[in-house]
Amino acid sequence: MLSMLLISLEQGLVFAVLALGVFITYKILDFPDLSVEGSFPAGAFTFAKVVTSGGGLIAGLLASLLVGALTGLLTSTIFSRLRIRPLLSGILTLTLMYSLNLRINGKSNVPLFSTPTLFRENIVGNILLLLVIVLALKFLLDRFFRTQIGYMLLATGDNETLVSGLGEKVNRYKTIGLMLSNALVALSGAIMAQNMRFADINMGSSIIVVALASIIIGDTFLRKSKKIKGTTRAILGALIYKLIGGAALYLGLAPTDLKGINALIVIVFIAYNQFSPSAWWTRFRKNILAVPERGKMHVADSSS
Amino acid sequence: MLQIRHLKKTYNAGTDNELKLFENLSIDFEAETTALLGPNGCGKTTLLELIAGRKEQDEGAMCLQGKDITADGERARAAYIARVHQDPSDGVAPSLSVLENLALADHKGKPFTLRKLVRKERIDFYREKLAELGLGLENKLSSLVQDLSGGQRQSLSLVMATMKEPRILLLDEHTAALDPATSQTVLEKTRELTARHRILSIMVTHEPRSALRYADRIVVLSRGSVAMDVRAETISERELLETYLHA
Repeated sequence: MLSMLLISLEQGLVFAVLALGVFITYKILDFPDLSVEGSFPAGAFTFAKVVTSGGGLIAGLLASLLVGALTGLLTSTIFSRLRIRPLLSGILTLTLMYSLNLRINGKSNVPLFSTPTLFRENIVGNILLLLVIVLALKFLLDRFFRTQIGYMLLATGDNETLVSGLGEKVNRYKTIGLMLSNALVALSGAIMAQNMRFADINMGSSIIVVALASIIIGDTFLRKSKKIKGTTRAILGALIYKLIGGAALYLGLAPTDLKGINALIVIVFIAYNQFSPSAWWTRFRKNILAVPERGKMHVADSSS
Repeated sequence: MLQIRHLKKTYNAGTDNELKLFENLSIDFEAETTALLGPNGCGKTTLLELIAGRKEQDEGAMCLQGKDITADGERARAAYIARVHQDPSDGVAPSLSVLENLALADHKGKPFTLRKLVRKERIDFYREKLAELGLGLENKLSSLVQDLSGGQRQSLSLVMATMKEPRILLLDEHTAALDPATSQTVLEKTRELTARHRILSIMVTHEPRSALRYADRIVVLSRGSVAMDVRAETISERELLETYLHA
């Protein structure tokens, strides 16, 4: 039980970096960016290439960030220059990245057993290190959103007419957001590769569902509170999501069921977010218990 | 003064749906409020879009105070043109606070960098601007704009649009989505702000009464040309209504 909890926390923190990245495109820019399914393995493969070529840990992580940012730039270029819809732009990028990722190392799976890594044998130490990384990224992102460019990014997702009315290029801020988002996603991929001790071509498959699930779960957490920042919600969502997945495995479900569980978690939390207890109770009283509404009772009484 | 010369604009040229909106429109606008009226499809909004640089004319030229601005794109024109839209949410960022919206408008024309946007020393200035509206918005600086009423949002849009004192203010049916009382308040504030800063403003409206009350000059467009161009004080509401209905 404790082992399941610790492993879920560890992986949840890795996915928190992913969720922070997707939070920028999904929640702020309202841009359905599927290219993260290409940038996540790109981060892993770039890291693998750097460390297996003798580069250090930091060089590997920085290279992953750079490749992720370039992936975002590619999606943005396809979207803004060629005027292809965001969804298709992302699909085209992830398809292109599949081949590029295979080119980076020349094979679909790269073992990372004897290369530099963030992770040690002590899982509690690993969790603490990841926590520091995630909190540092959250702090930097929150600070960024208080800058002039950060506010323009928020305004771009909110109202593009305002941004052009201020004399600014909307696509400039979409590009910045996509680059930042994919850089974080690639970093998450690089950390995940170290955690799993290999980089695999299929590790990006359905990763968007994981990220969206984390964000949606995070939105559910104290959903009426306006004091919890979106970045905090994304991190909490990733942790809760992995804990639910871990609990499902602990209760006996097969690892092959995980993708189905992922989809179910998203459906349940979206349904919960749209559920209003007061509206449900009103409908229940009216339709099932056949209790007339107060105003109508008064009318009925006066007519009788 | 804004001079528009020989403006030509055709939609869907060369197709079955070709619409020749402006064939040779020439008109001048002074530093006053001009109300632009006309039936749907007569070219009011297109004219605003062409002035704002959001759409490109096929032919023609525009000069602002003697300077040719024809080649200026939308971003270049945003430096001297501001706009208040019909939808109160179009001129603001609803998920940001009133203060953050004002800080964005205050930064217009300067490069956006990694420095802090909201500056404490400007807050009193924002409060003063909001207090001029008389809607109590100066006490709601930290409120999210999405929580404001339509009238408050449109008034905020107006303050944001006029904060950097643009040379041209385009008002595109900016009170159409508001109730009559709020509409009147916003129109009065518009009048005060434009008169105080002597801003050339062009107000598209479908309400002859508002046009006569709040504009200095009335222009009625009909099928892309000027059907009437008079001073507001020289025409009665009935005469305007008749011209408008037959335009």
